[in-house]
Amino acid sequence: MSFAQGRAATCAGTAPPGTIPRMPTPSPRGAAAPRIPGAWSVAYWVAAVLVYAGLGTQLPQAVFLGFWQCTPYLLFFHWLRPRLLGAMARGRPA
Amino acid sequence: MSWAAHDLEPYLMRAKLGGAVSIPFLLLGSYSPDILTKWAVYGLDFSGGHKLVSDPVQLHRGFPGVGFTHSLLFGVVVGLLILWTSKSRMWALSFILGNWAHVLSDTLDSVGTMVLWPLTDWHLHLDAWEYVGQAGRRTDAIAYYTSLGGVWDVMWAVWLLWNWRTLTTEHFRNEIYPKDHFWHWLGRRASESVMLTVYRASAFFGIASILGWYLWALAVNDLHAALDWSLGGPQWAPRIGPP
Repeated sequence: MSFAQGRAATCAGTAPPGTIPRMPTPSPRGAAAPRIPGAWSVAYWVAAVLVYAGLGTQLPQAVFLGFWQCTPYLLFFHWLRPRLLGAMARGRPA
Repeated sequence: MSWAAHDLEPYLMRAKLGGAVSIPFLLLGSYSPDILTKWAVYGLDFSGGHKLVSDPVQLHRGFPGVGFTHSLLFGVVVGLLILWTSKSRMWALSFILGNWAHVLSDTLDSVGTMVLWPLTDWHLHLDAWEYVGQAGRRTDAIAYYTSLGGVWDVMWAVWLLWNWRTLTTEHFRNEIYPKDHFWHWLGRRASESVMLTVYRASAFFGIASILGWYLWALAVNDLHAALDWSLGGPQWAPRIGPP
């Protein structure tokens, strides 16, 4: 059963008991979503944490260091990551 | 009280216990003792100047008050409610473990917790650092992050960064998502980015808040901007014991 079939069956409640669909693993050479190098990804998240912590420190009334308050920023960082790093990865030689 | 330790402990529990526990319910349990009262303890503004209750310590850790949320029994009762409504042993166990981790972490400060409530309202307090929640969020942050409390948070952060692979998308897809039906439920309603945001939010916030508050306590503010790693520190803070 493919992931899409498994997920559809789970949603419809028709999946056999104990069947848990696995998330698809992206192809290393996928054309639509180029694999982002691990080091860039680590650097990106380190920068994201530093940006949020820095803004929270310097602008505490606007960027509050709180759990619920951090979620919009984290969602933005997730949105930005493939757009920023994906474009950089596409520019790399094969 | 502990700060970012409550945000990070669930990830390490998941890393050690594997598919027997659920990250969202570990986090729910870890947040449960404070979720209804922290705003009242600190006040609604950043400075903590607008107090909502006259005795935040009594409210937060005492009884009368909601100190019972910092007891071992509270986690068990809510865990049983989760088991009764969801029929998921994994979710119930995760809530209990998350709650107990919070309760036991908070015994390290000078006020401690009523671990055996309702048998007794005695507080277990190990006095590793001073409880300064009654002074507001800003002063509490300075006291906590310049004392051994900050070291406690950093220890959990270093341990999580040592296990950094648990935060990767690949780990989420192959290890987290398949073993917890919570993610299937969420996946029917939200994109993978939203699921990853939910999964990583507490880790992101925990690490960022440690960095931010350390920076703020030591480099930005002018009040007692120096480390004090003495037992029971910081020494400038008022001595506060159990209510």
